[in-house]
Amino acid sequence: MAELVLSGLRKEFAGGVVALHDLDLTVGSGEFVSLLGPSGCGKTTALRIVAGFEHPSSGRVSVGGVDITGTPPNERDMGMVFQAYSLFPNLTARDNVGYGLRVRKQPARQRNQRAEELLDLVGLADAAGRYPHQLSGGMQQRVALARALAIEPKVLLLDEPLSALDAKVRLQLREEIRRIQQRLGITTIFVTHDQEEALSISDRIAVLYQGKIEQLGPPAEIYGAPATPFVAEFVGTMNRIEGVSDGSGGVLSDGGLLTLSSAVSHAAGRRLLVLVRPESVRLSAAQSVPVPGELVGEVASQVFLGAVTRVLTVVAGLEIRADVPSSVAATFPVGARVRVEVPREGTRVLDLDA
Amino acid sequence: MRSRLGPVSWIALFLGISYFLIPLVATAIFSTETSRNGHDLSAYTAVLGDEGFRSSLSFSFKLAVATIVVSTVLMVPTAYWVHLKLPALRPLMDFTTILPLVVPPIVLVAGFGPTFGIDGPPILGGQGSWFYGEGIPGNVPPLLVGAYTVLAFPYVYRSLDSGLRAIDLKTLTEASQSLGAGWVTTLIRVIVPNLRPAILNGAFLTLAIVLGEFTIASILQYTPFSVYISSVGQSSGTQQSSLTVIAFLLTWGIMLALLRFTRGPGGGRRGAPTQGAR
Ligand SMILES: Nc1ncnc2c1ncn2[C@@H]1O[C@H](COP(=O)(O)OP(=O)(O)O)[C@@H](O)[C@H]1O
Ligand SMILES: [Mg+2]
Repeated sequence: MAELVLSGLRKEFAGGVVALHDLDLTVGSGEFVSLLGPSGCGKTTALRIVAGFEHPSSGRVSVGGVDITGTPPNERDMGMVFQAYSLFPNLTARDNVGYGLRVRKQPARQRNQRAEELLDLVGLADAAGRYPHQLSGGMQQRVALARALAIEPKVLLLDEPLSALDAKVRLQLREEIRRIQQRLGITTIFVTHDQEEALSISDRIAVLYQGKIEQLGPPAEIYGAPATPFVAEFVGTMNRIEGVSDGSGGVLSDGGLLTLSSAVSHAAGRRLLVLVRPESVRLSAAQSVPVPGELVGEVASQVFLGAVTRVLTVVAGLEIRADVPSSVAATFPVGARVRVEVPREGTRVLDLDA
Repeated sequence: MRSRLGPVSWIALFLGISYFLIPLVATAIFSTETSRNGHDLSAYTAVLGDEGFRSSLSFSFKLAVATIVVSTVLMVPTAYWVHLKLPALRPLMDFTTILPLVVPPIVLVAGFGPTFGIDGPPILGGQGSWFYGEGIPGNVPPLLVGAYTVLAFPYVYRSLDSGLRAIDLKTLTEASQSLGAGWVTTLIRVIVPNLRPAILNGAFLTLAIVLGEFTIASILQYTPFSVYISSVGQSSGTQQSSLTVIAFLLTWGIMLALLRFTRGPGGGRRGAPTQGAR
């Protein structure tokens, strides 16, 4: 297997749209990296440059230490799974999977055997003789995956392969993709705009925004320690509380004073952004007499999410969401006055003046 | 929902069918008439026994096959490339396809003379009698095939155009390339099989055009089937009518055979267009 290195990739389309700004990314051998970002942030462009369908305006792509920037796509040995259904309509599932081997002039017997092994791997051993129009969307994407793997590619590229599928199939197939990827130990780039998808299957995630990598790291880090306001906003649900540092760990916000150990290092007067996940916010019944230094708000709405219920509170005009176990949600009915606690330890603070 | 035809529709339908059928039936009846007011098939036996019938018909079919091959080989890659890489050129292509329809055949022929020279194309040394079919297998004249390819161009291109619109050309091409295929392999193994109905449709239209073309062939002094029919008519009306009926039946027979071929087992459904992800 091979390490994939993108260095200084820049892509400017005719008409002046800059889709990528000097993108640097190293995907280790056998690693699964997701490119995560909103529509139009350049994910597909990056993937197409790796596949060879687009040429970068500047920058290089190399695989296993070999520069392939100028290599045509059909000589790159990259397996690609597309967002749109891409099976050849005139070929059976078996022949679709065997196509790359046929191009490589493998004898029919060997080719069919290999194709059937791969169809077995994706759980479609029975469908070998069927044509694409006889397969469901999920099955078609499985065949497409088997087809991409058949050529034993150096790198596997997946461009939102699940986005056209139903929620249930999507969940199932993404686990399967991860299982197969780990079993084969294949270097993989997975493009998605779905943060949950990226968090659940990646070794590392590169969050892309306006053609730049905002943050690169393991899922837990992306979720737990977003490096920029954009990442905080895009990945998961985040309460964003703006305030001003008092220089000794206090952040004066619209809702009141927050005391955070992570704010201590910021000088007085700096504008800070406090980021706190709903599941970290604690709610409790408010004392009848307000205690100084506590935030007290009113419940504005509740959204049932299954195991937890998301409670929206308004603290002096500032909205703060908190997740509470659904079993105790009735304790915080709409209109109730509640005490809202942002944990002193472990809450992230970004310096907006930096 | 069942649509019921009103009386006006029935009348329109009747008039339409009559418009096509009456001349045909009249021709068929006339073709069996004898000089003694009887009916027999003597015109047919006379025509079928004539050497000119077989040679002109086989000449027409050779021309048709050659034209189909040439126009398909020229147009499939061109249409593919325009759709894939130069979509901005599509309006220009659409305009170009109208030209052979608006330029009368007589003008086309007038252009061929000076262009290719009466003794073969000057760029090929001026002695190109092969251009008129000498030394070519089946004596099929490239000059005529070239002219017919131009005439067929609008129909072939438009047929391919609609076929190409129906498939996700870009994704299929890129999938093929990522699996290691070059342009030629992609064209032969992916594009052509999925364009089969469109290609066959274009081929059928070409066949119909070539079988029916008269002006160019007759000016250039060739005797394909259409010219033969016309020459027979100068001596015998019934024989000419019998030829018309034969030509009609042949054309329909071929069309039905082609339809069967495209719809037959492994035909139509296999060539079904890709469903998009949308
Ligand atoms: N062929 C192209 N020509 C011009 N602009 C393009 C082309 N492809 C993509 N873009 C632009 O580049 C940006 C990134 O696109 P893309 O990589 O497809 O984003 P994503 O896959 O993240 O949604 C977008 O603004 C898009 O409009
Ligand atoms: Mg995209």
